[in-house]
Amino acid sequence: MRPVPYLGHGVGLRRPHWEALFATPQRVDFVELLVDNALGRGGRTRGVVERARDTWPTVLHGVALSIGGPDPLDLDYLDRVAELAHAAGARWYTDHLCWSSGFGVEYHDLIPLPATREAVERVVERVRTVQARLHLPFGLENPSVYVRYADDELSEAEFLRAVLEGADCGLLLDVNNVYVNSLNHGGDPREVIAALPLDRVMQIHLAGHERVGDVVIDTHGAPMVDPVLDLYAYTLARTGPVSTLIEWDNDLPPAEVLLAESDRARAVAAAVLGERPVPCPA
Amino acid sequence: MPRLAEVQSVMHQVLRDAVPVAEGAARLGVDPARLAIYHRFVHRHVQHALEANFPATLAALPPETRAALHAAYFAAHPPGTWSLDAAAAAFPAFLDARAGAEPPTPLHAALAHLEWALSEVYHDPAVLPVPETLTLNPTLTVLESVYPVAAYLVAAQAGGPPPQVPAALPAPTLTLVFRHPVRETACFFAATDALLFALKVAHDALDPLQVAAELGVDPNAALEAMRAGVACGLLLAPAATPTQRT
Repeated sequence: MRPVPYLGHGVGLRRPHWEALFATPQRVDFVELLVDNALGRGGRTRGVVERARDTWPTVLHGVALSIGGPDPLDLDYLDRVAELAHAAGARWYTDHLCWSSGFGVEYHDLIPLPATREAVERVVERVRTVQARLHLPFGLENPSVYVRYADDELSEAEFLRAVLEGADCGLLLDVNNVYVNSLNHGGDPREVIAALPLDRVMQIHLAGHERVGDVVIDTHGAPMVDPVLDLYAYTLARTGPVSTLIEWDNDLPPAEVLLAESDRARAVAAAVLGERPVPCPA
Repeated sequence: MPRLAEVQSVMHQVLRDAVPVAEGAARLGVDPARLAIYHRFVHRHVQHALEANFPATLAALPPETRAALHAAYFAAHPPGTWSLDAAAAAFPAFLDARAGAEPPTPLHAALAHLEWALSEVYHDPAVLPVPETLTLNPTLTVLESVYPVAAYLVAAQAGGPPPQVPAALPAPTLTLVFRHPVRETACFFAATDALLFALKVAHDALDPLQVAAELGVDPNAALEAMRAGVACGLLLAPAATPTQRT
């Protein structure tokens, strides 16, 4: 696994916040660019990517890699990601442990993989291809999943560990997803966190979620709840400083609200870690 | 135990409506209500792509027609690339094929072509140069329609209820669509004689005064047409030209 620098506390750079984030007096340590909203685009989008590169440390996050999908890896997509990473000066690239396309069709969603050894083998081989092609630190995020297959062989943590160690890649640990999965499927989220290969955590995601009927949906459309911040503190106590990013993609609030959420996470980190580590400079 | 390939095949069939959710859930051994979440999400992504790229076109359609078109489009045009916006790319041609006396009409299709052109020029990867001479904006797309779609879209973007559907014109008109070189917004203009003059002169690298003389056009009007072309972003001017890049 390639080492990554500590970047502090950041936010996703979403289009409605472009101008506000560049102008804000509030603290932004780094930003995350959504690969699939920037890939191959010129004009203002490209200008914002380059301006972000010149303003903050940046990282790339995608949803369309389909690392566990049935179709061959899209090498053209990977080459475009590499070009974007270069233009953005990105420190690393992450996507999700799932599949998002198959049989020639894009779903534009994160479809869960069965937690089986066969799926582990498929993903490990493909992550190696990604890492060899990109020459950039690469990590997989634990997704929120709403179905668990009856024939799953591995627990959530076992599945993640097998993939990450088999492929020797990093973990983008979405603490909210661990919490949401525990609400939807039962189990103790702290046990899941404790069972993960925490030395591989390269970044943390935090976000809000919403209950819809009897299921909790990872909407990225609400403030973080305290139990997620408690779980974040529990995680940091075991990992030490990890670059942490607030995701907010739906019902976007004003940028100052988003940044206040980042400040909440920063305060938790300061409380757990004693003193604030100095982020890597841009 | 289903192998990975079988799980993915069944899931794909559920997501693409080839197998009902309940049947797919039974074959996968999952809760049908939870599987329905993914089915709903995948459909909604395409619907959102249409809503994001064709707000005026969809607003001009009756709600029941919108819903039917969403469903038919989802079935007919499975998204083929990672870009969610690209999932909407086939919608104008899809409307062309269905346009008739009842909605969607040819006007809706023409409006969709204009809205899609706006999306494309906004994202066009072309880097707009600062040229040495007056140059045509490389993101320019020219649309032809017998409906005054530019005027309709201006009215629609002004807010309020959808504007009244205009009648077809006796002859096709042109709409010029391009990304503004400074503001980087997508612009559209009904083609006027002046803008078409500027377009022709810049495209063929001609001398505007010479063309004006040959056509019997007032030279001041010719120069004004060129200035208007630069001011609206249709033409890219050298850096020293004060009407642009200020």
